[in-house]
Amino acid sequence: MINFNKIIILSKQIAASLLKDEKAESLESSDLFSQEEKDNILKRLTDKSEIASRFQLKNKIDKKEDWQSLKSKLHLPKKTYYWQYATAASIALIMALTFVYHKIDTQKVDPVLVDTKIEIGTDKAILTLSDGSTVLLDSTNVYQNKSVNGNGNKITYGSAESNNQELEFNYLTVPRGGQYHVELSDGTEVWLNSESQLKYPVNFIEGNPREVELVYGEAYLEVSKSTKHNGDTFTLKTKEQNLTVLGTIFNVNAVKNETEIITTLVEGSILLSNDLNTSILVPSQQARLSQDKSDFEISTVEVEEFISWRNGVFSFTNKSLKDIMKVLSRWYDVDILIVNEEMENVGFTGVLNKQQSIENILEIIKSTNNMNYKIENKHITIE
Amino acid sequence: MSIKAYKNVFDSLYTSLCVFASSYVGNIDVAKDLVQDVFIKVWEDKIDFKSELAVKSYLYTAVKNRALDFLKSKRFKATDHMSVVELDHLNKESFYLKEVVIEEAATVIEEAIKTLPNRCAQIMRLSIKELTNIEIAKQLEISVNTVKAQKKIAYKRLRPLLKEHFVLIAFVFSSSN
Repeated sequence: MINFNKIIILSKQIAASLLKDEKAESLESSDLFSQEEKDNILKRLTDKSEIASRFQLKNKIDKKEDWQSLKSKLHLPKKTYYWQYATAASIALIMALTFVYHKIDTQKVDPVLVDTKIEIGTDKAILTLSDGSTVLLDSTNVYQNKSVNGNGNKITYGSAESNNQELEFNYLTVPRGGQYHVELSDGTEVWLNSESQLKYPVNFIEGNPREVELVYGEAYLEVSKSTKHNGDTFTLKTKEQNLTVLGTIFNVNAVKNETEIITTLVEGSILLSNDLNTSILVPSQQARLSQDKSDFEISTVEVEEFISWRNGVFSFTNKSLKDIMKVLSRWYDVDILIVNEEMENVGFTGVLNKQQSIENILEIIKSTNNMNYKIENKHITIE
Repeated sequence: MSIKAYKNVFDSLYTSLCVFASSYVGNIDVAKDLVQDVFIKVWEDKIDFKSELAVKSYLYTAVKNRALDFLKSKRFKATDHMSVVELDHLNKESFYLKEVVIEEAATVIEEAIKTLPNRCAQIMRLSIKELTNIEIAKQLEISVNTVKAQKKIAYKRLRPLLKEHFVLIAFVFSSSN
């Protein structure tokens, strides 16, 4: 396995060197291969006839057909309608994007770039302790005390023995351009997306419901089962709704300045309530609660799209350019203005890797559309 | 693993694994059968993967083992034969690692080039084959300066893609358990 990790990294390094027209130094200095093997590797990757025969070999492989024959040999659960989704999800090749948009003329104009300082989002958060002091958590700053351990991408609360019957609260604030992961003292894990804040007790009191608050933003939770905590339920509060569970996995999106809260259930079941209504969700169901309405609007959704953010990708299914730009602006910490109102509702489907520059993403969108963009410092204008 | 995650792994790695297997068995149809057998086993045994590394490590190893078993089988020996020296060569760990490196690097190169605009991609495909700028210009009937300019564009666009941690193919792993 150690070798294998080395191998995967080495492969990427070799590919990068060859693409950059540089000598493959990482291969030259590698102790995994003899000189003869090294020569063979380079030859197989760069020699004209080797590349051609590789291409011919690949042409003899019909992935679609082979998938059909493989599928027929698998023992599948009865609900085969999953297949349609499977195909949709397999557009995982990041660059495979399609605008569901019909416009014929595609005049090419060059983007205007002025002094770009836009950075890709990273793992980071600000921890506010119960005494009000704050600690920055990122790849260079760690925080540790008896039962708490915070590092570059995660903070873990141990279940410290305490007879304290008073709850002590911490806040975790993830800024724009950040994401972070916290494990609470009961073992519940919470992933926070950019521009989110979570309020939670350092320790839960046994015999009382476990209460945590998503002050704003988006969170994905894997709740530690109640059976492990003498039946103590877990409640996630947001401004407009309460969500009570016994142990389950779900995603809540209560982003600032948005008019609705979106709750998506992955596993288990949850009970949603606000002042007037209650509603129960089963897996793959989603509840939307609008600011101006009191009841929950329930629908069945393709869950992956709503939780993929924590796996390092943005996943959009026929999402409007306007909504996509909102998501991008939080991750890259930029302001995005769409000048042409018509463009705002252009639908878009695709999966994008979060670890690429925003220019890259805008270029992809530009290449499928007759839009142009302008970057000035942290302001992006789309026209 | 959900069927969706499973299909995603298949889509991402099937072609690579077939090419990889054929470097052992020397026959693409046999290679395809071996790889499909491995995929069936992954499904039947409900094997769950947690990372790109885990999935690749498992699949390459499993395909290699199956390929070597095939070469030692009666079925193979009845129609074909391989010298002991040759079999020894294929049995070596460094042969396995070498073939993985070639397959992985070639895939990264191909996927990266696919993200470029046509002209740019054309030039980069020739550049990979170690053609000089002058040779590329001649072959495509364009000026050397155009080749240089296009290469510059390519480098700029590929830069973020070539970072070590960048995953060109996004794996979707099941979120449960």
